[in-house]
Amino acid sequence: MSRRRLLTAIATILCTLAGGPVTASAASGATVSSGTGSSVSVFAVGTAAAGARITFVDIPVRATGTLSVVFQGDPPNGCVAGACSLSGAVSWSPAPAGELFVIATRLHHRTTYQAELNFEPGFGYPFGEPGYTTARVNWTPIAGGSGGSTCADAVAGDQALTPVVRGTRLLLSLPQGPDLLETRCGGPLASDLTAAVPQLSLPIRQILRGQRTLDLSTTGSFAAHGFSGSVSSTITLALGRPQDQGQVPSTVSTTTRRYREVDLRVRAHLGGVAPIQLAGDADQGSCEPLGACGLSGSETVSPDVTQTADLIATAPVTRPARDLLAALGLVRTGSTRGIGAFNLMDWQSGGTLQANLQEGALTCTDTAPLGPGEILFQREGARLDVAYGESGDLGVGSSLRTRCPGPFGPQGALATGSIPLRDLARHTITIRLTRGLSYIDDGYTATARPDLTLTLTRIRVISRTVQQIESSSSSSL
Amino acid sequence: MKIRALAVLVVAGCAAVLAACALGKTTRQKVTGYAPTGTLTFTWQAEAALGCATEGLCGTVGSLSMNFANYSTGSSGRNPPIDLQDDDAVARSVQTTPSGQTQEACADPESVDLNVVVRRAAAGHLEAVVASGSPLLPSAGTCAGPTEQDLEPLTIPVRSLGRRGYELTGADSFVAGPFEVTVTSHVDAATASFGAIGTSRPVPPRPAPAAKRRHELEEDATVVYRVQSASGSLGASFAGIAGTACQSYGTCDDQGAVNLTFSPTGQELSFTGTRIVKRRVGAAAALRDLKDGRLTVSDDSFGLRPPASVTGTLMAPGGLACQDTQTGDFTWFQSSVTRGLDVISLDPGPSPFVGDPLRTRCPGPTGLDIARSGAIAHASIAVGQLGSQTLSATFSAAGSFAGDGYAGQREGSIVVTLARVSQTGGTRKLTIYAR
Repeated sequence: MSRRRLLTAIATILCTLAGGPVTASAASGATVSSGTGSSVSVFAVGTAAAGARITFVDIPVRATGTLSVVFQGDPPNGCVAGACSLSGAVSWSPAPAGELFVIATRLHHRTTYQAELNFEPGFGYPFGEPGYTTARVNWTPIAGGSGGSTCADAVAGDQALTPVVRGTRLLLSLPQGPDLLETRCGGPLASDLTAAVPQLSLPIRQILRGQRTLDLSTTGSFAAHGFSGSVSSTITLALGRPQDQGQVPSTVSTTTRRYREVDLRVRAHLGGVAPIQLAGDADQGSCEPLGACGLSGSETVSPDVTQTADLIATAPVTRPARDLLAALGLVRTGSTRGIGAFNLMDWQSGGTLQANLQEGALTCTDTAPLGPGEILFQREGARLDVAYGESGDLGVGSSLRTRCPGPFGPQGALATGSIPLRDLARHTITIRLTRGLSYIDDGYTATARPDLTLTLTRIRVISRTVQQIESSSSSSL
Repeated sequence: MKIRALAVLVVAGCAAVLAACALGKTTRQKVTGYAPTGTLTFTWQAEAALGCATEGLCGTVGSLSMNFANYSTGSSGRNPPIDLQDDDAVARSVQTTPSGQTQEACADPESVDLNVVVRRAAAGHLEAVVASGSPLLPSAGTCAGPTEQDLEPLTIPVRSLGRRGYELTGADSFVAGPFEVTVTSHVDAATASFGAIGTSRPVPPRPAPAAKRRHELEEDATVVYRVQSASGSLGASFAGIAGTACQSYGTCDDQGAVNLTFSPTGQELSFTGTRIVKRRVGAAAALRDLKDGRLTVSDDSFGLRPPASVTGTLMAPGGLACQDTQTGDFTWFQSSVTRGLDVISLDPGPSPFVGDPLRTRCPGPTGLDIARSGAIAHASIAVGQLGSQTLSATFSAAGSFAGDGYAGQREGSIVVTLARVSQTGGTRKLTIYAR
């Protein structure tokens, strides 16, 4: 999946070069896919600008070691209710095998880089061992006394880091990108550990030569957001011999299809609240290892996001623009048969997540920044369905994470709503997302009762013709 | 659809196409399968009435949660298995004292790939049971709880949805040692169609060029031994990993061991040597050549299935003192012959698709953890000794390991005594086809 993100970035570059839509998306018809081995296939909208040269380099990585965090609630450091009662440890061990994937784009005598460090087990465990995170956290009354619980959790799976590229240097720090330390147990967020995490900065040219060891071992301490503790890392990354995956050709020769595209560009604002009622699972075998038996309370998702979104309808160029406008509900006449209209709007942060949990005499409250999110627009007949979830969550589950214990988010949309498609003809549209869901996560049951409002304000409607250009290349290019 | 699902489909497709071509039939096989969604949860609780005190497991509860979504596999056979796969499942257990103090808390990521088949049960009801050859059976992993073997007898109530598939909804309870195990299923196995594979107009295969046939003489010597006795034990001693990382595994100051004994008494082990020769040799010469290392030697130790017993112990600072013994057939024999030595290894090898003979119901490392970057034990037999009336092979465990919260040493040895049953040798004519 992570490579797909990177390839989407390439699509973005290609589309930008082509003068096409800046946002590469399925709706725009722009996709880039990489074959296995040295074969790379590129499908891009528009014509790539002459002179741009895009090179992929894939460097195998052997990873060893563990990143460990030991923490406790720290009253002098301002721990709020509950966090003061938490103490424990969490550690992350990367998969033993991974890859550093670098894209170099050379344009106008200037090279820019993008990189991603994937710890994907390839064909899946047991063919390749996954990386995983494990945690043990005690939740006990500060003043002693009875009560309290111990949470034990582990999370495995594909993991990726996105090193930061600053000019010609690559900055790698752990944990970076997604929260590699997130589990269902409480504890500090990755952002609380910034002062103590291992960091490494190297010239990209050195990295691209491979065959060196990146030493991310370190020890340090932190004190933030009510927690204090120590971070220790024994992680080393041994880079293997780089494998040049080839170049995307700057001149694309074969035109295969032409499409018509209508883009309804809107300013979208998402606000409101989506409370999720939580309870520990009634089954002791499920809830007790997570310390969740008898736990109850809520997490309140409060997104606050304003950004531009494009609702796009695409059809073969033989279809009149009216049909596409009808597919977007902008005109009443026109055949919408066979025309898809959807798009995905996503963002990295915006809003807050507030937890308010009780377990016996213990309480935990915390407010954390709300992480990535996304909205999926999809035309269903004469209606437009809108779904809101965490980023990637409309397909694959991830977490809603505060410093309190709690379940991961649902595998699906947290809130959905629907409006008649014809409402899109109005300048300003308000869509209420009030349909929630009940779901089970390990040790927990949860019910979301959202009351979110998505306001779309039209910016403009663009009709254009795009051509899909197809090329196949190999590493010899 | 995940990559593995695609691969399974491709493999299934290729297999069916190849089969169709090989048979020369005009077939078009429909590939169907299931796309399971939902959850399957195993929970366990140690019961005094089931003797948990004997193993020191009283107060233990745990679970293994599996989630299925966006994954489907296909098969061209009738009644294909439902593939319940979760690469990100997690096994957890916790053991508490009667006063509520936590003695041990464990969480272990588990990759589970469980194939179940639907069959008709009593009174016309349907039920799903584990299909033979399930790649990765569920278990408590490194946590206290049931082993793979313990969870194999599960049955899940099934409701047919006709062409739409099956609903695996309901619960089943059974006893596994000191544990009362409950399986709760909320799985919707919707029928998934993957189109058809094969061809209605197969292209006739191009006639292969005639193979050239030639005859060779092969010198062959075989010595068969029977296991007379096996003594000793091997395994590993381990402790929680060093450093602060043990805190996140909950293994700090844990101490434990696994001890394996096996006795292939009565089972036979053959050593065979061969080579291509120009002229015939007699039995005595062939056996002499075997002993002198002039033949290419192999053995059939991979076929040994000795009854085995493994005892696991674990002591933790909170007062946990667990001891459990499991029995079964040991199947991890592999061998290779180099430089005049036939080395037989106890090694899970690259394929983990077998049960774990080193796990018990106590918390502790898996066999794969213990064998990490090496076999559990090796025994060497000098080729020069083959043909002797008796042989002795000592399986010695050595080396260290670290992983999943534990680090330790492989240790111990098992001495296996072999008595010669027969020895044959000579030359035989081989017909070799080559293009």
